[in-house]
Amino acid sequence: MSAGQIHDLGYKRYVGSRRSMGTRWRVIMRHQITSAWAGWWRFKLWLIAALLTTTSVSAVMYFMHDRRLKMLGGIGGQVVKIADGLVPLSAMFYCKVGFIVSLTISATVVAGDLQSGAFTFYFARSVRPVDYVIGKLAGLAVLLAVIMAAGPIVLAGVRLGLSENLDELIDLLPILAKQLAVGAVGTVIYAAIPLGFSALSTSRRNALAIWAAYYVMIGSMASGLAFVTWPALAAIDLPASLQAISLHLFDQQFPGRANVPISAALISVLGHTAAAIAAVVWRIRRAQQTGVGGAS
Amino acid sequence: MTGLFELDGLTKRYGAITALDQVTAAVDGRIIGLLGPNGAGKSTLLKCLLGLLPYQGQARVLGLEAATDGAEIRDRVGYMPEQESFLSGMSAVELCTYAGELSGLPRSEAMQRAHAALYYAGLEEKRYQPVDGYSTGMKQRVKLAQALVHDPEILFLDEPTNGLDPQSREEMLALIVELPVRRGCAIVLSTHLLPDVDRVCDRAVIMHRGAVRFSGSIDELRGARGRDSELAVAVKADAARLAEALTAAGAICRVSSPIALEVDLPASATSQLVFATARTAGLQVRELAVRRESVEAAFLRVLGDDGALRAQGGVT
Amino acid sequence: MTAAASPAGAGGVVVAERCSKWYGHVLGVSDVSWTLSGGIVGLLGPNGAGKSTLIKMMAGLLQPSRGALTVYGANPFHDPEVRRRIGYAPEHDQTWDELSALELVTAMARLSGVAASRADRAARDALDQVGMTSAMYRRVRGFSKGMRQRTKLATAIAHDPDFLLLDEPLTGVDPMARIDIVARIKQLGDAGKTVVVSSHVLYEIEALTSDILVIYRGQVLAEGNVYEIRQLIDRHPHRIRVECDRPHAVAAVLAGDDHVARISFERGALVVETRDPDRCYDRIAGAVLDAGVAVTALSSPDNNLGAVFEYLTGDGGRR
Repeated sequence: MSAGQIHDLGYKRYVGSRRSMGTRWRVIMRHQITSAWAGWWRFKLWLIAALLTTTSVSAVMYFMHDRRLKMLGGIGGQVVKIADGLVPLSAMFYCKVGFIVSLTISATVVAGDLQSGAFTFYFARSVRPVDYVIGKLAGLAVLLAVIMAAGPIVLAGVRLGLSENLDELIDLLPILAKQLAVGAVGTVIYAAIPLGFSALSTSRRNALAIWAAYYVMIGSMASGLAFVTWPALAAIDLPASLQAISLHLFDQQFPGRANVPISAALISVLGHTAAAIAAVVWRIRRAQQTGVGGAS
Repeated sequence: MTGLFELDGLTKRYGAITALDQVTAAVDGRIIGLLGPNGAGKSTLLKCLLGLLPYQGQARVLGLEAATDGAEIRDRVGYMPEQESFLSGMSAVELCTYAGELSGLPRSEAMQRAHAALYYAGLEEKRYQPVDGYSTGMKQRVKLAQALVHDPEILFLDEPTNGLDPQSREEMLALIVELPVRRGCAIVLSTHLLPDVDRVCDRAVIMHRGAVRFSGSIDELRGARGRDSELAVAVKADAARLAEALTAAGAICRVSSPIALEVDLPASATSQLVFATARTAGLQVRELAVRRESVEAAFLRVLGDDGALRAQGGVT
Repeated sequence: MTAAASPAGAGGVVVAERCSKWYGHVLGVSDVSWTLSGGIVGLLGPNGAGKSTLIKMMAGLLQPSRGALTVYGANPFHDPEVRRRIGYAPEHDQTWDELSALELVTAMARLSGVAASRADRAARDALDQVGMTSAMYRRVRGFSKGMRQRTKLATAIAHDPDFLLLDEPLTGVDPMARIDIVARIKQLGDAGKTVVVSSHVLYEIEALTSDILVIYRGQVLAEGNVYEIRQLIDRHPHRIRVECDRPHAVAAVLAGDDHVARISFERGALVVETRDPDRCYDRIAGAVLDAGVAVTALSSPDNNLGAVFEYLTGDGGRR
C-alpha cells in the first residue's frame, strides 16, 4: 500500500517581482478598453456604424469618382471631384459616430468613478493621479482612434486605389498622413474633451447632460452666430473645427460661404483640450485627497 | 526590527484647523485598535500614512517615509475602506484581479490571488456576478478580499462590521482575528465599536483632537490583570445579605444591584471565602470575576471627562 | 423593563393580528401576530428578515397585504391622528443637507402636525434634549454621523409622540456619543414613552433593554425577556464556565450528575453544559469548597443576547 499524503494548503507569501510604477497606466488603459468592449451598446454597435460609413463612402467614391463635387471647391477655385472631396469631407460623418461613442463612454468616465467610489479603490493602491489620467486618456484614445482615424485612413487608401497610374498614386501618398492627422485630432476631440466634461460633475447623468448640451447647443449657437458675425466663432463648434482642419490640409473649402479660419480651429481644439485635461487633473487631485479614509 | 509605523512630530493643518498636532508614537503589534471620537484625526492620520497628504514632521510605515515613498507603502499595505469603493459592472473576481494588477502583480498571479482572497473572505459562486447586486455582507467581504490580494504586510480596516447583521459580524470578526496567523499580516482596526476591540485587538491607539492620548496593550489600557482580591460577584438573589455576611468576615463590599456586588477581599483570603460565606447564608453564587475596566470605560477615562468636552461645545 | 404610563388602549400599544406583507413575489412579513404593551423593546433579526417592513407598517408607511396592524387601536396608514402620536427615525438619512438642524427639525415638526407657532419652540426643545444645543444652527451637510443620528432622533421626538420607532439609531456613532444617545433613549423610556429600537449591534440593545422581538424569515421567532427566552432553548443546555486551578477536580464531582449534558476542558478552565443550571451552581459551589479549588472566574458565557440570538437563528429557527 502506498503512503498517504496531506498537502499543506496554507498561505504562500508572494515572492515574485512586482511591476514598476511606470506600468500602472497600462493596466488602467487595458481595463478601460475591455470594459468598453463588453456588451454591444457601449462600443461595438458604433464600430459597426463606422464600418458602414466607411463602406458606403467607399462605394460612392468608387462609382462616382469622376463626377464633380459641388459642395467643395479648391482654395484657388479649382474644381473638386467626388473622390477627392469625400476624403476630407468624410470627417463629418465620423464625427457623428464619434459623438455617440463620447456619450456612451468618454463623458461619464470620471463622474462614474466618483459616484461608485472608484477613487477610493484606485488611490488605496499605488496608483498616482498621473497614472489614472494617462491610462484613461490612452484607453479612450485607442477606442476613439478606431472610429475616427481607422475609417478615414481606409478611405485614403480607397482613393489611392482609384488612382489612374502609378505617378498619381505617388503624388497622392501624403493623403495617408493627412488623414492620420485628421484622425488624431478627431480622436482628441472625442476622447479628451468629453473626459474633461466628465470631471465637472459628481453624477454621471449630469456630466453626460453637460457634455451633450455643450456640444449640441453651444456648438450650433456658435455656428449660427458665426453666420452673422465672425466666421471664427464657429470654431467653438468642435465638429466644425475638425472639418476646417481637414479641409485646410487638403486645400479645399466650402465655396460661397465663410469658412472657419484654420487658426481659429486649431486654437479651439487645443484650448478645449487643455481646459479638459486641467479639469480632469484638478478633479483627480481632489479625489486623491478626499477619496481614501472618508470623514474622520 | 522596525515596528509597524512610527510618527515623529507629525503635524497636519488645514488652514486654521490643526488635524494632527505634533503626534509622536511608535506602534507595533498584531491587531491594533485605532480609536477616537469623530474629528480626532484618525482618517487624516491614515491618509498621511498612505502618503496621500502632505504633512510636516515624519511618518514612517514599515521603515519607509510616507511623504516620499507613499506609492511603495501602498504596495505593501492593504486598506479596507468604510465607504463604497467599487467600479460598477464588475464581478468580484474581476475587481480583485484588477486590484492586484494595480498593485504591480502580473495578471495571472493577480487572478490566482484574487480567487484565494475571495475564498478566504467566504465568497463562493457569487464571485462571478456583478458587485452592484451584492448584499451588504457580501460587499464587505469583497472589500476585505481586494485589500488582501497583493499580500500586504499591514491591513488597515475601517469599520469592517458596518451594516452587517449579527451573524455576519461574528464571521467577519472571526476572519479578522485569524488574519495575522493565516496570512501573516498585522492589522490596524479603526472602529467605534469598543466591545469588538476588546475581543479582537491586543493593542490600542487612542486619538483625540489631533493627538495620541494612549498607545499600548489592551491590558495596559485596562490596568493590568487587576488585583486578584478585587472581585465582581453576582448571586441568584439577595446580594445585600451576602454583602452583610462578607463584611462581617472582613471584606469590603459595595452592592450595585439586587443581584450584583463588588467585593474587596481581606488580605490572604481567596474566592473560597465568597463561596463559603454564600453557602452558610444559603445563597447561590452565579458569577465571579476579577474586576477589570471594560475597554469602553477605559476609553472614556483616557479621553477625560465628558463635562470638559461639552463645555468646549464639543458635540460629536 | 419600564411599564408604559400612557394608556395603551385595548390590548396594547401595537397589536398585529395575522399580519402579512409582500411586495409582488418578495415576502416582507408573514402571518405576524404580536402585541406590544409598552417599554423599550429591541427588534432584532438578520438582514432581509422583515424588520424594516414591520417598522414601516407600525409607522404607517405601509399597509399590511393581509391581516391587521393597529397602533393605539387605529390604523396608522389611514389615520393621521394616530400618526401624530408616532415618531419615526428611519435608518437612512433623508435629510436636506442645505438646511440647518433647527430648520430641518422645525420643518419635520410642522409636517408631523405641530402648529406653526409652536414648531420652532418644539424643535429647539427636541434638539436640546438630544444634546445638539450648540450645534443646531449649523448646516446638516457638515455633520458627523453622530450629529446626524442625534438630529434624526430630534425629528422623531419634536412633536412629542408617545411611541417611538428608531431604526438603527446608533450606526456610525462614536463611543462618547453612543453613551449619550443610549442614556437619552433610556430617559425617554423612563418618561413613559414606548420605544422600539432596531439594531444589528446586539450589545447596544443589551444596554437599553432586556425585552426583545426577534424576526426571522418574515415571522416572529421569539419575544419577551431575553433571559426567559434563554430558558426555553432546550436544544442548547446552559453553559457554565469555571476558571480554576484544578478543573478536573470539579469535573469529577459533576460528572456523576444526571443534569450534566457535557463537560469540556480548556486550558485552566472547564465548561459544563447543564439542563438544570440552578442545581449545577450549587454543585459547583460544593465541589469548589470541598476540594479546596481556587476559582478565578465563574460565568455563563451564553446567557446573553448574542448567544440567544445565535441559538435562535443559527438552527434555522428551531428550538
